[in-house]
Amino acid sequence: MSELIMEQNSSVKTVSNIKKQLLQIIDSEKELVIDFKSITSIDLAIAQLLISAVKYARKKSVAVKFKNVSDEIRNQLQLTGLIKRNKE
Amino acid sequence: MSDQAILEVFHNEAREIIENIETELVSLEESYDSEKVNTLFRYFHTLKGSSGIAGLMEVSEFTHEIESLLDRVRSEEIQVTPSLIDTVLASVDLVKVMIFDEDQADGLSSQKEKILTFIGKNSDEVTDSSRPLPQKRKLNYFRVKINFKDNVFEYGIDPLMIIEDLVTVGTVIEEKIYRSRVPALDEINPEKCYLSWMYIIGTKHTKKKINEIFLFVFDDNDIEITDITEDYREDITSDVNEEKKIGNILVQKGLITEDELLFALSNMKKEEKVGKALVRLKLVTEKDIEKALGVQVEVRKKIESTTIRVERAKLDGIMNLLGEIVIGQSSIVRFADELDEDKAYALKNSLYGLNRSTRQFQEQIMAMRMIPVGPTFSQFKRFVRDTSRQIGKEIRLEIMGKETELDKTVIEEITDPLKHMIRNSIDHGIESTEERIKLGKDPTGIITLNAYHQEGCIFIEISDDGKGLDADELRSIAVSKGIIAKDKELTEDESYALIFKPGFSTANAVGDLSGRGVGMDVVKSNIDALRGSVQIITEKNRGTTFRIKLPLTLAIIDGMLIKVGKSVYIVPLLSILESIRPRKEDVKTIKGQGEVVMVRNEYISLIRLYKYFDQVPAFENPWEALVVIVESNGEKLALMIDDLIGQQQIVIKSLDNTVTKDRSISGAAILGDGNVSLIIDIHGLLSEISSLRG
Repeated sequence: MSELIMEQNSSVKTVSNIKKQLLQIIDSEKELVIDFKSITSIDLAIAQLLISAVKYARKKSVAVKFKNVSDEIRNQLQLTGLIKRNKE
Repeated sequence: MSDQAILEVFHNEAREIIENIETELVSLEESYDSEKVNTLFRYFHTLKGSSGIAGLMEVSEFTHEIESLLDRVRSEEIQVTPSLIDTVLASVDLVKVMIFDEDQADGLSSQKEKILTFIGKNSDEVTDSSRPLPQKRKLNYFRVKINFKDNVFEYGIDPLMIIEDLVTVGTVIEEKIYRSRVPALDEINPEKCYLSWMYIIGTKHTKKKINEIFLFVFDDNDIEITDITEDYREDITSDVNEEKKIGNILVQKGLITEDELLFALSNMKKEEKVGKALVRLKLVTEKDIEKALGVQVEVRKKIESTTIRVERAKLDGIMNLLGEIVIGQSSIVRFADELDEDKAYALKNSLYGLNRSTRQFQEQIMAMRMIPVGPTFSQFKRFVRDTSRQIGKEIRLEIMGKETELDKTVIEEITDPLKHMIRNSIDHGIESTEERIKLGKDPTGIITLNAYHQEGCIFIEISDDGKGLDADELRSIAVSKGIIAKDKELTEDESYALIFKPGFSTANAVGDLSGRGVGMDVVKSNIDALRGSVQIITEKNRGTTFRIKLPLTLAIIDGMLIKVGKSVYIVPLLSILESIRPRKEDVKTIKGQGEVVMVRNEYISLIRLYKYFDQVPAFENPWEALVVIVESNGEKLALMIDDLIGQQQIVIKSLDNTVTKDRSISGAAILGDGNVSLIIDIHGLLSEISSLRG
């Protein structure tokens, strides 16, 4: 298992870097935990990258878990369809 | 909490409940609706409980009797009749005395007996068979398709913020998120946008509000907003939603899957509830449904107990602090302008997000202070009912624009003037029933209260379909009372305005209500104190409308900063039509109109603001300076200025009347650089100019 902590400034500006880290973990581990403890909200670029990571992880049979998801981030992930509304 | 404190809290609560009861009763008299009876029952139930806690046992016992009476109406054991409404209204009056004027309560035992006797023998009442269906408040429905260009991130725009704004504007009826275009991690270019959305939103707002959300992205992206209100019938959708809620609880509890719920929803028989369908399809048992319904009641209770009362002073404090934050933000923007291009770009980008949050913050706080005029208007229903009966007229009060929101302070200040104007319409505006029949009018007169927002102001109209004002009659009364000189010439509008003069009264005899010659002048001075204005529109035998215009005090507006000489003034953005630099040949002087500018074959009066405000201008010729075309109430004006500085959010600081009585200034604002700037009120400027021209 490997953990990726979303940095405070995670946004479209750092998204390429985060992509590299995600690829590295999914290619080498069996489980990926993404920890949101340092951030309170995300932008669309990050949300979209997470959708893409979940798709890739599924292909590679790697489990993805989210940790310390604030209400704001939960709402944002719902708006991108990554978390279902009625299973809040 | 001391006994006195408990009593104070109870008094506040009781005052509110009693107002609501009166409104609901008159509304129930107009049209029967079982929900109204339920609401009344709940109000009396709360009053009973709270008065018990406050130690007013007599009130608690008495309201228990009324509650029982309403319970029998609720169970359709007895029917709603005028005498039942009269009795409950009389009991409300009695309760008021018992709560607020305990000393007087002792003398009312015979009245109390009368009410209790009625309650005892009410089962003889006759049925009122006409029961119109309850009217639901209408929403607008929009289908919004959102497809951003794939390079949208490059413009510093976060589409997620826009989607968040959209879903908070109303209720999401349907949501589709198209994720299939998002490639897997090994193939994605994370700096491109792949997602797109489709929403169906039900909202009380108009399309304009939805358009505003997409204001900055509309042109460059594929955004489609369609009004589909016609396709949506609220009664159907809300029932479906209600059904979905029960289904969702079952899904959450893990008793059925989402697919099973969808299957049941699509296989529901006519008038079948989802619960029944699920049982019929053998997906759940009846016990599961009962449990889910129990959860639903709990959820409702939770929602009902999530409101709190907050002191107004605290809200004012937050509002003032926010005003300071907005001022601070403006000064950072000014600072950004001095930085080099890259840094300025980065700073402004961050400020864009901050600005958006403060705007939402402002809206939320304003929304907390703003209350719909509906309850205030509705409380006049009983007033109209009682006073018109008293003088033997048949009058009905109609209410429009109930949902229009107004600052609570303004509502409080305007309630008494409104009451007096309504009283005036009842007494002088609407003719007697016989007269109306003679004129071929409906015997029942109608007074209409309407409220709406326009030009960043609030308009309240009190209209009656009575006899209208007679300018000649008003004039001769004013002469006979020595209010104006015999030879004084007046225009029609000036004659109408005579009714606001102190000591003016059109009633021949002093009646019970108005007609004492006090009131309308007080009304006018109250409205003036709010920096508002009243306009009278009248037509013989058709009726009279008093149109009150009130500013949004304490508000934050979008303003355009303009430069005149060395001073900066603010013009509300809503009043501005365009700004132009006129050609020399388009500026003329016309006899009787003064200086005008021709704009697309229309002559518009030109006001040299530097002259009006006594400034030394940078340009003396309009064709060298700029001209801003503004509009108020359909009247246009061309303001000559030196320069346009830019658009900014403005925190209005009200000016005391002792600072300026000039109606052309509606307030002041502190700019980002700390300087104070005056806000020009276009409507006021137009009236000041017309009075200057005499």
